[in-house]
Parts: sequence; structure tokens; C-alpha cells
Amino acid sequence: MVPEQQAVTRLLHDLSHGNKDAFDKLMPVVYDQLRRLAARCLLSERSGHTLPATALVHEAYMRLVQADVAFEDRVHFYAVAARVMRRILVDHAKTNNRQKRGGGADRIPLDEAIIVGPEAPAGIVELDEALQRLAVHDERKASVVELLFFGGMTYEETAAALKMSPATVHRELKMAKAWLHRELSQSES
Amino acid sequence: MATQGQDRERWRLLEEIFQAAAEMAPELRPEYLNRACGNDAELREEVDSLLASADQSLDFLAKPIQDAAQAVAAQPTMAGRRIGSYQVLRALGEGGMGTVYLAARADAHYDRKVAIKLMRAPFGRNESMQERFRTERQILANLDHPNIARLLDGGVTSFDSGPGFQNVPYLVMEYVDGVTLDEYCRRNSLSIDDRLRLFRIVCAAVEYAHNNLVVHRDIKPANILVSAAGVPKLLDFGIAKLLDPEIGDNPVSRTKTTQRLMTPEYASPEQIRGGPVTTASDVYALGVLLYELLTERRPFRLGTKSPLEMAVMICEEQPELPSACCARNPGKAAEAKKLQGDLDSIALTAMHKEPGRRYASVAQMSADVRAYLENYPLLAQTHKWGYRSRKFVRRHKLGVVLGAAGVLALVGFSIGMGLLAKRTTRDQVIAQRQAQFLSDMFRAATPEEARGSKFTARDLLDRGAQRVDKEFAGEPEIRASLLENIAGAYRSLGVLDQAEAVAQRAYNLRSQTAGPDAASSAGALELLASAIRLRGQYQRAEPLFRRLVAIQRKALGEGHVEMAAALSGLGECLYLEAKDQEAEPMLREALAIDRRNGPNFGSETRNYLALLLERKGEYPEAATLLREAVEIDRRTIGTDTPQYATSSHNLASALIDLGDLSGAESRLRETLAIRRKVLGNDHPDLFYSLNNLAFVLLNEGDWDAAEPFAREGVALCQRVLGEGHPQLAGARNGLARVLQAKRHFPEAEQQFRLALDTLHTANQSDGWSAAQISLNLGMLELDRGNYSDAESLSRQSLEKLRKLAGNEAPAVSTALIEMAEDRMFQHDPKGAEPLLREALAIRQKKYPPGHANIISAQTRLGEALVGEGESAEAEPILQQAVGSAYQAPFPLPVWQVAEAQSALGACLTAQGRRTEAETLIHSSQAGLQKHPRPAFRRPASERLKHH
Repeated sequence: MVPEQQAVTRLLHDLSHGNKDAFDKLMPVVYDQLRRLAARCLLSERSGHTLPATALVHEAYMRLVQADVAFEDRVHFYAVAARVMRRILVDHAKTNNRQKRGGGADRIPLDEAIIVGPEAPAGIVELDEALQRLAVHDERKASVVELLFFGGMTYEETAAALKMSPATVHRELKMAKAWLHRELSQSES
Repeated sequence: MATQGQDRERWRLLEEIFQAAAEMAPELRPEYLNRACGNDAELREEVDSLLASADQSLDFLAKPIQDAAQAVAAQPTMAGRRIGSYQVLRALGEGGMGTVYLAARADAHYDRKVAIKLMRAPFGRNESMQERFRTERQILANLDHPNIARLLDGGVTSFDSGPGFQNVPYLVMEYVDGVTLDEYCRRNSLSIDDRLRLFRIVCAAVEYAHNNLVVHRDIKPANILVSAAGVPKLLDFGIAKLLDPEIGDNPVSRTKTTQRLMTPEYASPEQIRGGPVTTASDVYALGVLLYELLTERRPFRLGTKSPLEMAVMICEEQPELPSACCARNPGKAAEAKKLQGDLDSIALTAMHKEPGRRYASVAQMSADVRAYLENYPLLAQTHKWGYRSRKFVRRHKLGVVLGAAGVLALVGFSIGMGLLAKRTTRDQVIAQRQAQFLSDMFRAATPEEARGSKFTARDLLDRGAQRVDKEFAGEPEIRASLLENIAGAYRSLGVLDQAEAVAQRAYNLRSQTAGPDAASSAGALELLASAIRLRGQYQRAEPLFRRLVAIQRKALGEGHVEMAAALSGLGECLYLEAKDQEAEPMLREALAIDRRNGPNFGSETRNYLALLLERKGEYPEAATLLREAVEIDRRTIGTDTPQYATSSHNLASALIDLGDLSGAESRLRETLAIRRKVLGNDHPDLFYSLNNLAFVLLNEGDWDAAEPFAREGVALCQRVLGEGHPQLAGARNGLARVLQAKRHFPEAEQQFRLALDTLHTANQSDGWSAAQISLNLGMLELDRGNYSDAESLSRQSLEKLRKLAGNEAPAVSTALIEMAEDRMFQHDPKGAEPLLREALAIRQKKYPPGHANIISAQTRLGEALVGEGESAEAEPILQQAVGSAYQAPFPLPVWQVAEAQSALGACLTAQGRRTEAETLIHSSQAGLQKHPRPAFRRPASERLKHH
């Protein structure tokens, strides 16, 4: 078994047993893995027009986690991966917007920025912000969306990760979807 | 305002009603909602809006995620790949310039972790940028201080690093496992005094770097990591400058860089304005850092401000006193009291808007912190900064005016800085203020304008030239100094009349204050003399150069590089006047001085000496000197510079003389591209590239390709230099030769005649160029069958050339051959023979064996001998010509080989050896079918027919 797999499996186990640091240690490993997969996916031209982010999460899982890991640990992995994936996608979109203005995070090109003006945020950034607002009202709903859409988890896995029934997942999603859609269409107008 | 509990309750209610309504058949909803919401219109509206969104498909959630994933995938990842001899482990973070990775030695010789900073964009093929990267990297790698993270290695990624990661510059740095300085202070609840002690360690590191001429440019807590043991280390020294892809020899982007790679919260006003980044900018950033360590707040909270607001705030607004900042925080009353007075004063002195009013060095700032800790009086409150301040305001005012005009002289700035560097031995203060004025003047207000043409740069210079008198009315010395810089910038831009006029003003000022022969007048005099020389008025320039040499000899002594420069200037001028015998010893003396001063001096001297030597036919020595010059330029200033282009161009000329036409062609194409890029399409220097490229193509037999270059050369000289400039004569000569090759005789003659008129106007009828052009005109007359005109022209030229260049100059051999041809066409091979023998002897002496020019002389001598009936004597000469043509070190034009074959064929035919001759003649004809000869090379058979 690959040493990386051992490490990840151990971290997942720690996480299941309430070790919060394990999450921070897991993040960069999953981050690298996801980005590597994303790149390879594109290079092999397998992606075509769509690159399912969730497929990447699954593949990262296959590579990073031992096959016989406990179901609970697996769920934790997906939860971490979902969070990481969301962060990767949003960070990237934000960085890209900044780069289009010619600078980096904290390096704003004054004159260029004055001339070019701010870019419209990409859809992912708006979605992320709406999710953050949703989390203020109702964190569980935001988590459901994150796990399902960024983590590619099934309803059952999502239910297990959030310790609720699959029916509740459906219900939470229904309201979350309606709320997010309204938020996003409002901000468009 | 609703409380949190109320919010939660309302959300719960909203969800309950929404979920219930969503389950119902639509027609049942209104009644239910009326009941459930009652009079709460806001609630009803909210439920309605949610229900309206309830039936959406999930695509609106999935799509942006998918799109974003696409975008990420487009960015390849680095983890697991190799960079140099390191294996990337994972990303540590992303910054404005690129991504930082944690990595380890791939060969695992020792278990050392490093941080690798990988730039965002690859270099492309810009050699000079890579060169600069290497040089600067070396400077940074030499920083060896316990509180500076070492730069260990660096380079440019190779193909191994994977697709999308080739040719990307990277830096390998010591990996510091620690937390940022502010975080460290917070976590350990350090006292003010402890923070100050830590701060002083940081100061010592910055000071060390300053003493090694490295400015950090981006000091901030995030760039200072403190290890678990409490040792602070500064990261990224000078890297803002090093890693910027825009940085090159182009001063526009250098200015832009200072604007782009900074952190607004820690950026000094001059960085915001795009002024020069100096040690004073680091002092400012240290002031902000100190402020933050003392108050846990930043002096300017820029958070959501627009860039314009930020700029105004940083450049105009006074930060709150650190003590006042603390006083607003109820828990920090004790700190506020402690900060009041000395510490307030230290932070704000460092953060002064005007660089000149800050601490003069980091050491002074650190000393004041120490004074505070040990209860000594402070420098910050006692020091007189008045002098600097007064000066600053004035220059600043001018800077604002010119900044609004907002353009940048591409070349001017670098020249300005060059002059500045030379002048550091004189008056530092003047030099600094002048640099400030110039950088204000040349600052790019907008990137669009910075990228713009030289016309905007000219506008700016014109403005500057006008304003200097008014702004510095009472200060003739500074005025003169600025005028010198402006003149230098004009000169670099090729605006020569203005360069002369402004240099004259500067020299007049210098003369008034110190006398025309004073050492302080030398700089202005040099500008004046060289501007006049560049305008082609060599006789006017010569006495000025003589005066300059006398001044420098007296002021600096024999061994000084400036003395060598003056001497070289005079030598160049004499060379241009065709006073070669006088020029050569001067250039050699200058070169000797340069060589004694080190390997990096005297590029220009080598260039002119080489040109002179070429005139004498000393090609190998000329080529050696030029190879040295090219190397000096590459080492010292990089390849994307006018000077490199000049040296490389001259080397191409030497290659032409050595017979390497294709080597010359590729060099010329390179220098033409460089010149177009760095000088634009309206610079007189472009002419040399155009002219020589046309010449090479012509000699390679590709006159169709040559013509556009020749025409562009003439148009350029007319447009930029004017009708009276001797260079235009050269351009017309080049075009005429192309036209002659294409058999456009009338237009060719017209161009030759116009060229001679130009030289006459410029009072250079007796010069080198006039002799050459007459010679070419003679050849044209020969082609047209006007033998007596041709003969008199070539005879005159021959005499002139013998006088100007000596009896052994290659140009003399050309004139001899032309006269011989004339004899041949007039059925006088006997008359031609001695001329050809002399020509061949010169060429065999001057050119390497097998050179095209030797072969052509041999061919003609052989033809003459055959014409005299001496084919047995001709045969070995022609055999050698053909043999050399086959084995020439550089490929000869096809027609020239054919010409030699045809002559040998005729020789053998005359001896009755028809079978041998047939092969040669056949192969000659085949060659000429493939590539016709130029018109001015009529076939040997035609010459022989006249006999």
C-alpha cells in the first residue's frame, strides 16, 4: 500500500474520533490529489465538454484511501473532499478574476484596476457567497448542498455524514434549492 | 433589529410553511398561505418567492460547479513533479507572483525540505530576461544572514516538469517552519518591549540586505516567519523584482512592476505613485510593521476601498498616532500610554510621506528603537530633516505636473540611470534629486501610454526641457544636470537636433558657472559633441571631442575609463571623417585603458576600432574585437538593448567580410528584430540593419528579398534624418545596387546620383562613401556599356581609395577589378591582367583562403589570361578557383560557382579539351538555371565574345 494511503486512512480515522487537527492535515493532501486529477483529466481529453467535479472526488478517494476503510471514515473523506473541492473551485475563480485585473491576492495594481474596473464574479463565487448566507440561517442545509454537489456524495452518504435520515436530506435540499435559486436570481437582477 | 432567536424562529416558520405548501397541489396553496401567513405580508412574499423557485431543476447548482472545475482543470498541477533536483510535495500557498510549494531533494541525499516559488507565467524565449533573472538571482543568493531565508537555488523549469510547466522560472528557498510575525506576537502575548526586540532583529536583517544593495520591496508580517524557537526570518528578499515576468531591460515595465507587486497596506506613497523603490521604501514598510506590532492594527484600513481611494489615503492622509489608535480600544489603555511620545514618533517618522523625511537608514530607525528601550534620547525628534523636505516638495510638485502628462521615455530612463551611475563619484545629492525628477518625469501614468510610441515620450521630454529652467531657476547646477539627462534621452530616441540643442543649453550653463574647460562641463560637452557627431556633422564635432579629451586628461588622468571614453569618442569622430591613420592610435589607446580597467569596459571602442580595421581589411582582428564587444554587452546590459544590437550588427558585418553570409544574415535579422522592438520603426539605427540585410541578401543572390529592406532604409533616412544626412547617401547606394541587380538601370543611376549629391551637400565629396558610390556607379556604366564613363569613374575612385585607405585596402582591389573589367569589355585583356594580379594579391592577403572575393578575382584573372591566349597559365588559377568554390567554408552564391566553372570550361575549351570542358559548362548552365546571376555579373562567355 502506498504510504500516502496509510497516512490518509489514519487521518480519517483520527477525524472520526474527533481529532480536529486531522482535518487540517487532510486538506492539503486531498487538495493536491484533486488538482492533479483535474489536470490529468483534461490532458487525456477524457473531459470533453464536461468535467464532473464529483467524479474527481471519487477518483481521489480511490487513490488516497484504503479499500477496506470503515464506512464512517469514508463518509468523512467525502466531507473533507467536498469542502476542499469547494475551496479549490472558489479560490481559483477568485484568483482568476484578480489575475484578469493584473494582480494577485493582496497585490492590487492601482492604475490598472482603476482603468479596467472590477470583473463580474463568476457563477461559482456567487454560489459560494449564497451558500455562506444560507449557512447563517441554516448550516445543515448549506452542508447538504456542499456534500451533494461539491463532494459528489449520495443521499445515503450525505445522510450518514450529517447524521440524519435520507428523507431529511431530501427535505433540506428542497428548501435549500429554492432559497439558493431565489438568492441567485435576485442578485442577477 | 431582530435578535438571533427571533431570526431563527422566523426561519423555522418560513420553512414549515414552505415545506407544507410545496407538498400541496398548486390550487390548494393560496388558501393555505392566506391562513398560515395571516397579516404578515413580508412572510407571505418570502414564501411565495421560494415557491416560485421550488420547481427548478438542480442544474443551476451543478453548472457553476462544473464550469469552475473545468477552469481548475485547465491549470495543471505541480504536486509530485520535479523541479530541478527537487520533488514537489504539496502547495504551501498562492501569491500574486505564483505558487509556493513544499519540496524535497529528489535524490534524497539529505532530508532537507525547501520552499519552491514557481512563477505564474513562463519566460518565453526572452534571453535577456533569463539572463537578468540569473544575475539577480546570484545577488540574492549571496545574502547570507541568520534572519533571512536563504535563496538556495533557482532556474527555469525544463520539459521534465510536465506540460504547461516548461520554461517557468522558479526559486528554491530555505523552508521556514513557523508562524507569521503578527501571529507569533499574538499567540505568545508578547509585551511591547519583547515585540520591539523582535522588530530590531528584523531591522538588522533588512539593514544587512541594504548594505548588499538589495531592497526587499515587500516587507509585511506575512513575509516574516518566526520559528518555534522564536527566531524571525525574512522571506522573499528582492523577489518581487526578481520574479516579475515584465521586468527586463525595458524601464517602462520596471516602473510598472513597482506598482504591481506590492501590498497596498505596506506600500509607500512612492510605490503607489510608481516612483523608484529604494531603501526608503523598506523603511516605510518597517514603519507600518512597527505600527502594527504596537497596536495590532494597520495604520490604513484599506479593506473595501477602491484603488483610487487607497492611493489617496496612502499618499495624502496622515495615519492616526499609534497611541491614539490603542486608546480607542478600552483594553489597551496601558499600551496607549506607553506608545505616546517616542514610539509614536518612531513609527510615524519611518512612515513619512516623503522618502527624504524618513529615517535615512534602517540602522537609524533601529537605533531609535534601541534608544527607546534603553531610555536614550531619540534621533527621530531631534534630527533636522528640513533640508531634504524643502527639496522634496519642489521636485514633487514638478513630478505631479509631469506625471499627469504621464508618459515614459523607453530608452531615456535607462540612459538617465546610466549617467546617474557614472556621476555617483561627483555629487550624490544632485544625482539623487535628478533621478527623482527624471523618474517622476518618465513615470507611466497609464499602461496604455507606457506601451505607446516614442512620440509620447518625445512630448514628455519636450515638456521636461521647457520646465527645467522655470522649476530650477536659481539652481544652475541641477538645471544643467537635468538638461544633460534630457539631452541623453533625446539622443537615445534618435531625436538628434533636440539632443544637440538641449546639450548646448546644458553646456552653456556649465560654462557660465565653472568655465568651458572645467571638469564639471565634461558631461555636457560629451553630449553635445556626440549629438553633433550623430547628426553626421563630423567636422563640427571633432574640435569639441578634442576639447573633451583635454579636459578629461587633466581632470581624471590617463588611466580613467571616462578618459578612455572621451578618447574613443574623438577616435570615432576621426574615423567617420575618414582620418583613419589619426583615429586608429586613439582608439587603440582608449582600448588599452579600458582593458586595464577590467573586462567589461570598452564595448564601443572595440566596435569603432573594428570598423576601422575592416576598412583596412584586417577582418580577423575586427571579428575578434566584435565578438568581445558582443560578449561585453550581453554580460553587462543584456541582449534586448540598442548597444547589443549595434555590436551584434557590426559582428554581422565582419562575418560578411569573412564570407559567412548566412551567419551574417541570421545575425542581421536578429538585430533588426531587436531594434524594431526596443527602438521602434522610426529610429535611425534601424537603417544599418536594413541596409546590411539588403546587402547580404543581394550577395546571396536574392535581390527580390533585398529590395523591400533597401527601400525601407531609404524611406527611413528621408523621414528621420532628412535629405542632407550622409547616411541617406548610404541608403540610396544600397537601393541602387539592388536595382542594378534587377536591371532597373535608370532608377539605379538616379539613386547613385542622388546619393552623391547628398554627400556633396554634406561636404563629404572626398570621403570614403563618395569613393565607394562612384565605384558602384562606374560598375553600372560598365553594365550599360558606357566604358569611358565607367573607366573615369573607377579610376577616380581608385585614386581616392588609395589615398584614404592605403594601397592594400580591399576596396582598392574592388576598384582595380572594376577597371580591369572595363579593359576586358574593351578587348584589352593585357591591360586588365596587371590590375587583376594586384587585386588578387590584396585579396589573398586580406581574406581567408577560399573566400568568395578571392575566387571572383581568380576567375577574372583566369578569364583575362585565356583572353590573352595564355590558357595554360590560366588553368591552375581557375582550377584553384573552382576547387575553392566547391570547398568554400561558407556556401557561395550559386551564380558565383557557375561563373568559375564557366571560366574554367572556356579555358579547357581553348586548350582543345572539349570533353572535360563540357561537363563544367553543363554544370555551370544548370547552376545558373537554378539561380540567375545579378545583372552586374555578366557571363564570362559574353566578356570573351568581345575579344
